[in-house]
Amino acid sequence: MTSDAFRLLGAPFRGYAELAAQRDDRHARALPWRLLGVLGVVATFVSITTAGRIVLAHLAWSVFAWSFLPALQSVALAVALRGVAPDRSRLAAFSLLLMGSSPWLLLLLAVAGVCLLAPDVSAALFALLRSGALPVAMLVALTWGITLTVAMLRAAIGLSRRATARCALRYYASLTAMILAWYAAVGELLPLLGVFP
Amino acid sequence: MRAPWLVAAGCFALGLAGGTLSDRRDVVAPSRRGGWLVLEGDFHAHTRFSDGFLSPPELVLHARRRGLHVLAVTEHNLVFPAKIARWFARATGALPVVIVGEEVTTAGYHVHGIGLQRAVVPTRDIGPVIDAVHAQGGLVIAAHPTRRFWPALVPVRDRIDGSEVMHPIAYQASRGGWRWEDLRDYYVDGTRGAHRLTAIGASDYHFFSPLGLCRTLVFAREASEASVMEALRAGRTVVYDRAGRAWGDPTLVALLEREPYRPGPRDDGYRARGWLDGVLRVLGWLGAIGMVVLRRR
Repeated sequence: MTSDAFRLLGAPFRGYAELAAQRDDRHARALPWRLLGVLGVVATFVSITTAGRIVLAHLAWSVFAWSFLPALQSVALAVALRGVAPDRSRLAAFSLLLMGSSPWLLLLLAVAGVCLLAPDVSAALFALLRSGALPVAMLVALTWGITLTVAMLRAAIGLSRRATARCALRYYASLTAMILAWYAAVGELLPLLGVFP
Repeated sequence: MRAPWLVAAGCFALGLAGGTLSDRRDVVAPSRRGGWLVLEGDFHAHTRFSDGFLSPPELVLHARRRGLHVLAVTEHNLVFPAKIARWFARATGALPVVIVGEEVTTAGYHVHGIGLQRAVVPTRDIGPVIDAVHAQGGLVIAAHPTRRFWPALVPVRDRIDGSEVMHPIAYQASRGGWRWEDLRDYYVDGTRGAHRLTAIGASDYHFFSPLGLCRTLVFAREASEASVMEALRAGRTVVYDRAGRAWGDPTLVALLEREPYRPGPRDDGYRARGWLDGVLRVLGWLGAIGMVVLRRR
């Protein structure tokens, strides 16, 4: 009854190994749905936290405006897998990677739920922040997300331990570098560090 | 398709339909006081091109939802998101009037250039930034001038056109040396001499609902970009702080004491409009969770 992505949360390595048994083209075909699922949740979060409800205009604009995130992920994955696992479809690999987004998606939906259900939203959010609950939840989502990425590389792509570590490092380094490069390119990063043209 | 997933998708669709229909984005027409059009403005907002959540068009839609007549989009060291917002606002309605701005952001100071044509390059010394904004016909506004920024901002106070006297830090306990009292003191000290510092209230909006939490009442001839800039240049603004004290042009403060101004409705969206709206929006949220958790095929 539960989705593959949700079951991955409980058993990342076993879950990805089971998914790897399916044909690559099946995962590649599921890519648009998985992409829409991730962007749909991000857009739902933006809409609820901004307008207090799910609004078509926010949904449409946010799906478009946040599509840079999976785009960056796909580039980072291509960089990470360069020269390894040549027999595996890159589209299928990206589709499998997106299935590991659930920790972040559930966190976003939980925060959206606070906006809908808390009697005093501002007080509730500040309490979650000050008590450390929200930062801890973000840390858990980050750790869980990294675990899922590692599990995907190891169990679904079938890399050795050493290659998995190398690819995971390359993936996160590329992702971070691209984000920092954007902020540097638009002139936001260096002035904050006291570096001027 | 599995039935539970279809039920979740149906709930989401109902939430989407209900949310879209009950979302109100009609800005109340500005009223007049003393012959001036009183425009409610927010002069400090970010988009997702830096550290905000909303795309520029969504920011404009949210400004309408929050009843703002004027919105300055002030992205960190960028102007193109503000230009996108201005294009979208013009293409989809008369209000809000979108002013192209930039929060020139460095380690030593943050200032807004508003009414810009092109981006201003941040420099270690604030002087060239002020010159560059003025050369474009823009105005320089000190952004959240807390004490840590005073070494850069105080020596050039006479060259700065306006200052944020109200900011969301007024609603928070002092954190990391950011105190609202510093903003007030910077403004008060700046208005002691002959120099006129325009009072600005701004929300420093990044995400969630509170765009327009802190507002500037602009006394303009008409609801246009040129008219708003002229009013700011002439110092015709009033800002209310958390305690209800008015800051700004003394003549206009006195005018509002005689003819009090009632701000338009501020819908933060977090209160349901009746039971049906309350049920549908929770249903939509539960549907979104269901679509993540339940198996589709």
